[in-house]
Amino acid sequence: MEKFTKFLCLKLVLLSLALFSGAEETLRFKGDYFLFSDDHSYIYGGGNILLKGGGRQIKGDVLYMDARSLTGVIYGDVRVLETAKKKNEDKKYEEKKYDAVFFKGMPPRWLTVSYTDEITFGGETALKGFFMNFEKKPPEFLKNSSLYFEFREFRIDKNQKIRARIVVPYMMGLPTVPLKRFTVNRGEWEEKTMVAFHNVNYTGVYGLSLSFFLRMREKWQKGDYDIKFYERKLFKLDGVKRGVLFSGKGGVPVKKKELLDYTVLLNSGEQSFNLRVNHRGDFKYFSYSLSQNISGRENQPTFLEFVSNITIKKLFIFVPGFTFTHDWKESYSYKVSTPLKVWKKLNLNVGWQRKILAGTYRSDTSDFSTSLNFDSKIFRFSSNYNFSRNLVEAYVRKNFSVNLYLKPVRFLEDNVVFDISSYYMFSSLPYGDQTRDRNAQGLNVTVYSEGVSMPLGFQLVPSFTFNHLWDDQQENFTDFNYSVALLKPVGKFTASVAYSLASRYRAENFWIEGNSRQNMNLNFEIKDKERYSFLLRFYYDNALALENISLTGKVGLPFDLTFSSFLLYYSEDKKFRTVEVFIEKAFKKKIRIQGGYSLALKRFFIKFLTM
Amino acid sequence: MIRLGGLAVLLLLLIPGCGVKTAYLPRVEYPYVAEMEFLKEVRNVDGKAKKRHFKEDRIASPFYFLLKIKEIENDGTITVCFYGGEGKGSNVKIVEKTFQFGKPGKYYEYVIFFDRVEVPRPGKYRYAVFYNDHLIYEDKLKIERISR
Repeated sequence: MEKFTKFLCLKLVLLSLALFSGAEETLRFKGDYFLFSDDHSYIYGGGNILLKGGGRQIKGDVLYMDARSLTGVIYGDVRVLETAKKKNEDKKYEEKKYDAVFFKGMPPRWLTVSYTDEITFGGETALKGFFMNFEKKPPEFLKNSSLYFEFREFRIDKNQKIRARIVVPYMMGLPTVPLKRFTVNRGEWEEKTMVAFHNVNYTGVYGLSLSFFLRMREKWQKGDYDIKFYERKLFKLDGVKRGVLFSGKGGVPVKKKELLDYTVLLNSGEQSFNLRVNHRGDFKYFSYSLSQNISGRENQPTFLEFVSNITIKKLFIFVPGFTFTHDWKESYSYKVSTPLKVWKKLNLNVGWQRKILAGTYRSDTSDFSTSLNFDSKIFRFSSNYNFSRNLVEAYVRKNFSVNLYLKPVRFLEDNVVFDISSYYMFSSLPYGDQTRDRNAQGLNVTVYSEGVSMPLGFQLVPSFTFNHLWDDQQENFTDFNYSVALLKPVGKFTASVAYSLASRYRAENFWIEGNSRQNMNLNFEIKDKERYSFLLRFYYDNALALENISLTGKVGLPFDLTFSSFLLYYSEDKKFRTVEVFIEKAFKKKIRIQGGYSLALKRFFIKFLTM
Repeated sequence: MIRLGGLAVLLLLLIPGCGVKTAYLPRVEYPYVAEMEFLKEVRNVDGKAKKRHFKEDRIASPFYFLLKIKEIENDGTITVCFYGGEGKGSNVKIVEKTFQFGKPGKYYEYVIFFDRVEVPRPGKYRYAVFYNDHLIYEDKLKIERISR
């Protein structure tokens, strides 16, 4: 009996230790309101926040927390009480007051902040960088997620598994049935072989899709894959009706080292596949890689390519590499190249490649290429030189280019911005039995303003672009583009007139020929951000004669519906080219459904659109 | 068969929610900062905020801040403080703006506050928003230049 009692006591001690250490690995929250966004993996909390964990109990008013990185902050009348006592310590901790407590990681590290006449810090001051940059996402923003949850208490462990009680899920902004308990796995999936539901989504590419996550963690195979079932026909999308997309990457490990890694993509809808298998090795003085790519599509020949590469570890400023590519037939290439980091902002790259193509089209080329880049606070410079010799047909291609771009210069309190760039290009290309050389140089100057206030509430927005190109063949012209807009806002109403003129002047011996085009817009807009907007536009052509009139309108309706219309009237035909009226419903900034009538299409329509 | 399937799905949805008391459901009761904008100018035109934005969001001093707080009840005080500016790494309070708002027993979906602020030099600053002396929001702010 005595032995049994001792055994029981020992078990209880071990159990309590296990529970205690487990508590260190969990953060428990209570409050009036919490919101968890699945899209952003972010939690907002407001009202009577209580956090227990990491040896502390913290009370506050507001919580912002990134569930993925396990970082967060509690604001308000924050009171911190130490709950974990050190060994042999009999001290009773007092409650301390702060304005904010930032926490990070699991078990959490803490930074306390007080805002009085000065910002003062306590706790781990090494977390100041995190304090400076932690992003706060308000509940309004989080509610734009396609799926979010509201609840009053939850706990979160180091695996970012969120367990909440009495949860109200919201899908596309609509509340669904409350759940008594709910668990959400966030961040990293568990390191074991598993299949898990990933998401339901709608995109213009795949239509409606249902995705599953497949993780393989076996001795002979490791990989993460996405299995997507998609339906396009139901949403009247052109092309493939429906299919399954299998994609992901994995590896074959041998003695804890990866022998092979691969990426795979299979699309049953398009009847296509792509598989790339790689093997890499790393030694003291060099590293190498071997790669085989195989891809195919219905009714097309299979494509095969083998690539091998060896790179010597850094020799002073050189990092030389050798690449060999073969298609398992008769075509192959080999390339020697080295990047040179001359200075931290000055990079040079030099390479030479021999490319031999056999089969129906035969070619054998030897290519030499260099590039030089420099980036400073004032300007950016880049230069390229390529020399290519065709050894079968004995011709040479050369080209050289230099680009200089000055970073924008601002004047008059940012009201005037100058953008200047220039370039020089030289090319020498085969043309029959001869070669044709071409030099071209150009200058581009843009001066623009984002608006200058004028008397009587008018705003003037001028812009001017100058572009000069000269080359030794025939092109020698200068473009001038001017535009000016005058705006007058009166409450919700804005009237504006915008005029633009584009001119090109070309030098022809002693003559200068030129042409220009102009147009003008007269706009009347009435807009209430929340409720309606109407824009009436009169467009005047090159002769400044009225060409067309358009009217675009939107009115907000109950239940988040929007009524939209578009009318286009051509004055020459004296008739409407199109009249479109439709009602639109947007679902949480993800999907829009439009239904209405189009005169241009001469039919009623329903459209599904992504946002 | 389809009807039976639909009924089964409905039951599966309803069963987990059974027994949930409304008292345990989450309630938004605490105000939160929905928006904080830094603008060239803000004017009150017929009860609406008329804004002028900085070009490319390059904030210059003097500037206006416009603060939108949602879910507010009763009367109270909002205080906005700006820190920094007195040399590199400084955390000294340089500006404090206080606003009284509301009436007892009233609920406001949102309240907007704005005021003009002038800081001594370009650089990195920090601002804090207090609701009845309780901090509810704070963030960083970069001032690109000083307008004369």
